[in-house]
Amino acid sequence: MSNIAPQNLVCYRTFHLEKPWSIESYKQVGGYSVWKDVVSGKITPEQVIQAIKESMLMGRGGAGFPTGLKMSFVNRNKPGQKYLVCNSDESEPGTSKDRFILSKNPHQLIEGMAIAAYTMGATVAYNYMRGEFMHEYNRCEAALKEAINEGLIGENVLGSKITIHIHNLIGAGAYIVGEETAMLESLEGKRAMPRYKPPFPANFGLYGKPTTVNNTESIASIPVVLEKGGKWFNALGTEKSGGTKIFSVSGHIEKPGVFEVPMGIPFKDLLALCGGMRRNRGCKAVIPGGSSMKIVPGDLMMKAEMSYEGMKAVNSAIGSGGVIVMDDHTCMVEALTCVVKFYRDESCGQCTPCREGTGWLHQMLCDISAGRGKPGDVDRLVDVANKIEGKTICAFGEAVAWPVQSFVEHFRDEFEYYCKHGHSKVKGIHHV
Amino acid sequence: MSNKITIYIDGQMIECNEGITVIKAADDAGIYIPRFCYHEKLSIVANCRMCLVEIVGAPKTLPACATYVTPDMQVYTRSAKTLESQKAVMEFLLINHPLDCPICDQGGECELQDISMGFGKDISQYTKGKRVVDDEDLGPLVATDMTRCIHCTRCVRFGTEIAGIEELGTLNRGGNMAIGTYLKRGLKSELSGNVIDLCPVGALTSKPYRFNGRSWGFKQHQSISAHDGVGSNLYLHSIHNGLEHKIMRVVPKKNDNVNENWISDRDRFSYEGVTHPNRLTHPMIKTNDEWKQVSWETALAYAADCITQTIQNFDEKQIAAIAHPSSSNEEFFTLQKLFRKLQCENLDYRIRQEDFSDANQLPKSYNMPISLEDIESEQSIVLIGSNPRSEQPLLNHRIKKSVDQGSQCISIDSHHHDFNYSIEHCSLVSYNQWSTFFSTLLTEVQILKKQKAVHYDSDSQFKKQAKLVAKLITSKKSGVFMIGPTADEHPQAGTIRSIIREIAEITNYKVAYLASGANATGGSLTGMTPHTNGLNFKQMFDTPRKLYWLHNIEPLYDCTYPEKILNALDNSFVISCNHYDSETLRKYSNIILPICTPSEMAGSFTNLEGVQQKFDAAIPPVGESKAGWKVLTALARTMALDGFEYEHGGDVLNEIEKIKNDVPQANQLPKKISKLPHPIMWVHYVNPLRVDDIVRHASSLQSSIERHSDCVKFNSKIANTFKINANQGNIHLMHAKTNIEAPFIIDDQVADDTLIIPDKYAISFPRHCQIKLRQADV
Repeated sequence: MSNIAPQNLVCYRTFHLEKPWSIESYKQVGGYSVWKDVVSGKITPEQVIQAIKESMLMGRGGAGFPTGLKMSFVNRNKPGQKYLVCNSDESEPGTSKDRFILSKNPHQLIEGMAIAAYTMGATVAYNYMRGEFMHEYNRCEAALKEAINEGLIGENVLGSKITIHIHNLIGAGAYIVGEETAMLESLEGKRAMPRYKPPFPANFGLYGKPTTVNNTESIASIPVVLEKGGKWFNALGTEKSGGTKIFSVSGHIEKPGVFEVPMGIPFKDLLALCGGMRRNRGCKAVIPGGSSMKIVPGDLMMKAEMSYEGMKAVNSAIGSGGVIVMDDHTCMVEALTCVVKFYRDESCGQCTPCREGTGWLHQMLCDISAGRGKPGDVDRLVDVANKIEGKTICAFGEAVAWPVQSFVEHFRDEFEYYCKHGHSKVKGIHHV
Repeated sequence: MSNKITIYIDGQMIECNEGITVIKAADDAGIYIPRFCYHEKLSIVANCRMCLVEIVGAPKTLPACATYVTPDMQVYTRSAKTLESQKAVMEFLLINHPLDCPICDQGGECELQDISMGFGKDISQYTKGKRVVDDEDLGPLVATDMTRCIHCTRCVRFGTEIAGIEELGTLNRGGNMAIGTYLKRGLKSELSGNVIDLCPVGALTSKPYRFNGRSWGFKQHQSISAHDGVGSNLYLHSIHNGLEHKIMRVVPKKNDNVNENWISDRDRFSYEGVTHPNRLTHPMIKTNDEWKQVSWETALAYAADCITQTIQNFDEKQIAAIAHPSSSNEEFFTLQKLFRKLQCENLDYRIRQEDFSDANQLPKSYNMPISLEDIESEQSIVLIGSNPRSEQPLLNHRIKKSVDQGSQCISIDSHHHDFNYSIEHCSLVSYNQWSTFFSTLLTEVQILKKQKAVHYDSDSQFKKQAKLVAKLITSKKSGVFMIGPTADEHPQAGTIRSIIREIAEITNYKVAYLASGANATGGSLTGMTPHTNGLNFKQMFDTPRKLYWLHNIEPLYDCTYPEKILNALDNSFVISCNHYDSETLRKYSNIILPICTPSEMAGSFTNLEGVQQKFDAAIPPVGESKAGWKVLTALARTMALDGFEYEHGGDVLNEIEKIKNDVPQANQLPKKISKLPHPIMWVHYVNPLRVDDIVRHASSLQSSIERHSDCVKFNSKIANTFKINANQGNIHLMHAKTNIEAPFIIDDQVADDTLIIPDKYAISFPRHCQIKLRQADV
């Protein structure tokens, strides 16, 4: 769903058509025209990178690293094998934007992967999907077959002597495989455990070769950026946050859903698109970018705009665009317990602070929410979170520390109350 | 060469090479940074996070093990930020680690204990229950206490990177992560014991040593491995409690030129054999089939008398001396000196060999032409009749490193071994066809190198195979042939070796002889072989002598055709110097003299590389046993021979060092290749855990021998010929009157017409014989 006209949509631009996942539908909106231009040499790899840089397209996976800059790290003229990996693992709680690209607009992703791979000099690209995406995987496989049949992908694309092989594959169900180096390990057939960086994938990636890992939404945006120009794309959003962004809004709202909207949309407009708060209750807090981002109190959120700079202003981040809305019946202690349980289960166990710390945090939260909290527990929670933050191999440490720190920062009284009284401060407890 | 750069650690200016890690630079400068997962010989994973340090300019503390030095980098190892990180990691490590050091086997030498004392906090905020992890049975050598594991994954990386077989791995995730084999089978690597040293905590400990002692009560003695030619450097740890002296355990002594940080399981656990109840404690003589304990004086006087009598009654050619190739230099030297003084040159230590026809073409120092370290940089390694993984585990590790770096390794043998690196090509050659194969290979190499070719057999069946091998060999500019025991034991070994030397000459390869035994090189260098007019090992028994001096030999296990040896010994006068008593020993011997093991005496071994390494005594000798060279010196004095005025082992060694290496005669190619009489030939498989008497008496090692390694092996062609069904009971091995029942495996990795017979079943088979097989009744 969206509040913008179909011609201004990026990733979801085929959705208004019948069978949007077919190659015919995709061609109706101008699909594969950019790839043909790239193949024929009308658009050079340098122009591709230039256009993406102009568009201010930021990595849509969560970290928000400029996509054009990342693509320029791999030198296409350096001899040797290189790889492109599309990160379709989409495991961040509250996020479900990529699955619709995969299931309803797979050709745009394929075109984006082909362009990106060619730009960086890779001949092989992998699309790594999470284990649960069986339906999406089948759609992608069917689309890939169509593209190969038309000679758009494979050896000697459209007689140009360019080779691009794309492989779809499916993971085995781990949150951490969404971390780019863990994904590379998994692709190599090992346990999905993040590597220590540096070296970064651009130097030492898949099988030790230069590799770029990009999010599905970022890659799927590339054909449109090139077709309509970086400036056009940038103008869709704010100056620093170009383009549109897909938000997956869930929680205590009337109509949860996935929305492609311009960057910089005020949160209250996004909330209105979702039909507003459920039962007209007040908005207590929002996690704006998937569960690992910092929570923002409702009143601040109502004044904020959904963009990289707008979220930074409220001390959080846009992350993966998984917006989790909580109403005033929510017990923050229990909400945090829920979030931390997820991280305890998903820690890969490789490095000490995360392996030991996530379990400890969850144990403390369980104690508090079972009425066994002790004075000092709240400080200890923050203390343990601080000890994890910044000491781990990958960003998972921050992903668990930030929710704990921000929940306690904004709702300390609720935590203190629970410890002291053994029950929630929120009356008529509303379980999340 | 890498450039030097300057960095600052704790304000101290340090010059170091570019491209090294901060932890390495700090170690070199003597600044300690705590660590668990980091190990200098293993890959870097940076998962324990203990070595986090503050580096100016970085927002977070960074792991010193995975951060590379950059010019003018400023590192602080004791700043507030660093300490905060280290304390945090330490607290996390301890929340689930049992704090019961007094009942942990690692207590006192535990890295976690040490580092928590130095870098942790006194009090933990953690008050909950601790994680409990199921233990796994990893076999008779390594004990587990997985609750203590801190998941540093050193053991996992060791398996992948050093041992070459992935046996341990991480299971589950998060707080449930555990180290295990998943398949629930024990460790099978010949280097598995090294995980005990690698494990920083008490999760993996030594099973035989477990709960037997505390490290702080031990005395440490340096020693050298007595079981293979690498000469691994060891530390023996012993306790001395009143009259009780005992070796408690063996750990590696790091020596990058020899064994690096590792030792094989054989070196680590063989100490158990030293205290075996069968150790000989007193000299004994046999009169009228009765054994009587006597004093050393009596025993030596009797021995001297018997030797003199034999020489007087017959002549000096009727006596012979044989020593085990694991005897020390001092023993070899005094033994050959004694016999040469008696005008006798019937001396040998090559107790498994049959063919000595090229003896004068071999260098006196039988050592490798390259150092162990150099193996790593060889481009091409050709293994001939050798399975270095079981014979010389740490030499094998050098080959593994070489192969991992991209060199080629070719194996030519009658059996495809279980290598722990990739083999470029494996030529399976029937054991009775070896000389034909190598002569064809020579022809093919000569053709490839455009030389005048010698054609021994113009229609050899190996043409195609030899051409392929020749191509691979000549594809590299240089390399090394490694000749192993299966080749040395071949009845045409001399022919085969001379052909290989010729090929090496043409192809610019070197030839390394990987003789078994800890001191084979020392044996040849000290003169323990007949030079001009003595008998070699085979001749000594082809025409039996009247008197034998057996130094540390157990013919039943140490020789290829024990029955022949034992028959000869039964009809002769035998003086045995041994470590262990046995019925067989008592049967054939007339005098038994107890000698001590290398751990009870000072001495020296010369390793395959030709390096002489000295070892110390760790404990006093068991009973009245004496060092072999002292026995021989005392005997020489009893016989009033001069030149034996040695006060201590060093005097002997001084004399050994004066021996000059002579130049061997020019290589002579055989005129023709003779055919062997029987189509089916057997290969003597010597279990790596039965190579010498000490290992054979080490109980934990013996219980780690796998059943399948004691099976007779042959391929399905032989099985069809004799109508043998797989997976059905045992087989009978029959030759003349001999009939031995043995378990078997049909294995197509064995060459045609070849039987692999393990040592324990090979007792009654001559080298050439017609062996028939029959399936045993179930």
